[in-house]
Amino acid sequence: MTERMDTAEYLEELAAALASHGSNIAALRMAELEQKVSPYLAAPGVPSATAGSGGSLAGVDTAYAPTVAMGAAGLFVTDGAITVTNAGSVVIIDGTSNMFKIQASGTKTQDWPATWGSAASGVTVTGAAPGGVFPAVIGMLRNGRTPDVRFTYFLDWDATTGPISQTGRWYFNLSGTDDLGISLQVVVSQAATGSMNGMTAALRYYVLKEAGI
Amino acid sequence: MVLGMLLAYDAAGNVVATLDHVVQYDDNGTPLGLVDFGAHEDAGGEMTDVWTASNATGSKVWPEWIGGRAHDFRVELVGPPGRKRIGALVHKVSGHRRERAEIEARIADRIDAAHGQPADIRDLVGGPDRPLQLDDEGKTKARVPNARPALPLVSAAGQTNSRQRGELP
Repeated sequence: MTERMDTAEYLEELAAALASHGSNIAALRMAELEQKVSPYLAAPGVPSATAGSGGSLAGVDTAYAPTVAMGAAGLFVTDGAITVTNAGSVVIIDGTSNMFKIQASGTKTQDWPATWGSAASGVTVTGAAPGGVFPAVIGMLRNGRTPDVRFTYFLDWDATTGPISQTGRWYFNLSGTDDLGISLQVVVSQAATGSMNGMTAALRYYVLKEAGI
Repeated sequence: MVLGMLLAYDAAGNVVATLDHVVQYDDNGTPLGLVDFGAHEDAGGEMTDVWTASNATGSKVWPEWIGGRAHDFRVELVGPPGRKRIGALVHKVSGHRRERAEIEARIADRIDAAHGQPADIRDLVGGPDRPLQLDDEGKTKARVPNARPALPLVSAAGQTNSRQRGELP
């Protein structure tokens, strides 16, 4: 069990620490940080085979020293990378790979039209201001509250003759420019049976932005 | 700061689209922050500055995230022309009302109780990635953790699996 100081002891230690750093809290935090990481650091240019308890920096080029800073906004590594290594994998965050970040998300519904009818509606997200990289959009379709994805509606449709069996089809269009925003349109068409009467096509959409990691 | 989701509704008030969140980035891809829909609305801004829905007649902020369940409701607007807000969501089948005033009062109580410290209101309003779970009548229901089968798991940091650690029989 960790032994805990009482409040008076803690305040005394804190006051002493502040005094030793000229009441400079930032300097105090940096000193604490340096103390914590010092077992894992080797002198510049000196490869370390045993760098602290439970860790090793063997083979690391310690002559190369990226800038590391920590502040209210988080941890900043400049001209370097963050590497996580364990038995399962090695994960490196160094800005050379890309990932998708979710820039915006929402839902859209469209009531199914009458027999042999077609209906469409969409959303355009203009507030995202995509900037230098054009986002992508992905969507998932479902019908009413049934939590399934009925892509079979695509398969029931023949491009030349129309619906093969019955029901209808749905799909969505994606478009947009850097100036006008990202647009998504849901389109539903019903065939002869009217089996979709009173139903609603619904989807969740995501606007994705490619970003480095 | 009043976050929340955007609802777009047709002439009858039926919700036809939602926008849960928008993040703005600069031209270098650095995230600048979440768009504060509520602040924009409070300042008299129009939600058409953020998005449009082709089959909607209007769009306003709602102070909860309820995901796709929003489409089960119609909106009730309150306030003078040009300054209208969504005062309540009314469930289209059950008639259950989700009152904005009650939600905002619960948020204010939680903030008061925090005495200047950050207040955790996630159970009250949900979030873009964890919307409140509603039942078929439109009432909030308790969030039930997903059941997971009892299988051995290997964590990244440790080199033992959960059975070896004695967490499984």
